[in-house]
Amino acid sequence: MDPGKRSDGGSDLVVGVGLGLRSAHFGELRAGAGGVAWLEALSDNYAHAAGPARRGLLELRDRYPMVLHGVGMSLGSTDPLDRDYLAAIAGLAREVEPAWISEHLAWVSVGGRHHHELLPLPFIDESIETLAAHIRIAQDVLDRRILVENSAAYLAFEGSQMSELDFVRGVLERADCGLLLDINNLYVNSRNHGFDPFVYLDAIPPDRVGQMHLGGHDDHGDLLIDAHGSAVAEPVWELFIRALERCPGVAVAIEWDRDVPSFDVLLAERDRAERLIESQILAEPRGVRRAS
Amino acid sequence: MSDVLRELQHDLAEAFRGAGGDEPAARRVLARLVPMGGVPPARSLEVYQRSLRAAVGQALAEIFPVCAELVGEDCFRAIARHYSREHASRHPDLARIGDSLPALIPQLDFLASVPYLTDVARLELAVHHAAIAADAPRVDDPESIGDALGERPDAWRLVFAPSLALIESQHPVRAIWHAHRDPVGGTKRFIIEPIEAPERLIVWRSLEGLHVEVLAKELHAIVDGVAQGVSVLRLLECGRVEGADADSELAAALAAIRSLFERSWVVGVEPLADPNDRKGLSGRCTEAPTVIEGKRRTTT
Repeated sequence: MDPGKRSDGGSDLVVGVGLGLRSAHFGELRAGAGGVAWLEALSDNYAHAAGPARRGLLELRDRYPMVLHGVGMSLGSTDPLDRDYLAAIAGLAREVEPAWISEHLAWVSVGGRHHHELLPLPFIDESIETLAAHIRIAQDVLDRRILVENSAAYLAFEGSQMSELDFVRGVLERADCGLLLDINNLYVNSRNHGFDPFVYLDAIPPDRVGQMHLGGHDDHGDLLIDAHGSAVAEPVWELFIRALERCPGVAVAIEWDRDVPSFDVLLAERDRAERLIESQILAEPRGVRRAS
Repeated sequence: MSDVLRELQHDLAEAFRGAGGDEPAARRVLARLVPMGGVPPARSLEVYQRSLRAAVGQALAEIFPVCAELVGEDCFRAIARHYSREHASRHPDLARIGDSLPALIPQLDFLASVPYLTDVARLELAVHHAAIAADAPRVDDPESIGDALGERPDAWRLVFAPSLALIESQHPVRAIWHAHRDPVGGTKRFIIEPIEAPERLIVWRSLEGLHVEVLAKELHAIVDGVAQGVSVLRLLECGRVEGADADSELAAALAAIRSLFERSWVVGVEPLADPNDRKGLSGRCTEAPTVIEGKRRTTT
């Protein structure tokens, strides 16, 4: 049997462009609107939830291939990893059977206190060691290789010893994990911190990239904020094209968390990403083709 | 792991929770930052401070929408700011914050003019917890439960649904909550009638949805008995009706217990730790009623 095919004829393959699952669109998704290829569910919204919320997720899982994306693992914290949290994610994963699980290169808690915000790390060896040790533990508990997302950061540490690019590569190598390449975060950081995002893209090991994110940001003039509350900006689409050349065939999710728009608006973003993927496939015959 | 990163994270956490850059942790953090492009460190710090406050404020407003409406946006933002500074979030799920908000409200002088706000917050918290509580376990074999209770009513206690909570208030909080949740004719204005007797509410989730109801007086004693974890035998004592003959008393008590199952308030039974403990068999339920103070009462 094709490992990507379910017994009911549906597919569990996570390919092409999927959507970040938000409760505002449950109705459309239940009805199968828009021919959505797959969904990215926020693990934190469901790992500790019971009752209707969890049932609603599993109902959609019956219809769509799914991946889990989390913010609460706090991989970069100097606290020990929260084993209860990991167990909750593992329990959710047993029910959802996601194609993969992703988290962030950041920390959200320290001293047992949660800040519910992805907080930045200085680019130093100690941060890499902390992240890599925690990622390895998470991979052991979850019994799979996970993806970690390059996060946006709005401050610069005096003691940073390397570039963000070298930092991310160092973590991927030492933890032996994959990368969820957030194209918007890359653009936001490149503008805020003043580096060339195309150089970054060209140097990221493509075989480590397991998924990409597209989302909108807020432009405050002197500062860009990764707010996920607007359409993908034009310069981010340009970066995406380069990313597709570097990482053909990698699945992409559209993220929109704040001021969630109508389903049609989200589908329009999805459609634009799909058109870019199609044109990239046509332009590169040797590219990895999407599964039909 | 050296202490350098740990100390930095503790300082960052404290600085992000604060306001401005004058506090000691903020000053230590600012000393370790460099400008980001043209953005000075103080502005970077402010970005995180604002974002953390907004995240907590938004989460609290989603859990306590009626409280937020009652006091207005600015005032609720001030409450959220106090909450964020004084009550650490110990759970990775943002939907789990807010447990300490009802206790915080009486401590804030600027809320003295809304004496009912604490109880409205307790009700909203109970509703929120009911919404995310685990499903009640299915009773596969109700007859066997009946048999077990019939044989040894002193050895078992009843178990509330995971979503159930009891609220007691001196204020008409259900009416206030209801007026904001389901305004009649689109208006949220109504007259609060002063009441003397305390209002007892029961909150739970059934297959039909969430329920907030006034607890009927005749069920007070028996519901309190279940909340206290007394034996079924003792519940029968709780359900006795003054002045009735023995047979009528038993029938009334059994009907009351049955109604708890029918309403999905009670979803199972558990063996008592010490079934030989027969205390209270000869007396009435006289303990003070168990009232949930802004916490979900999970008895499974």
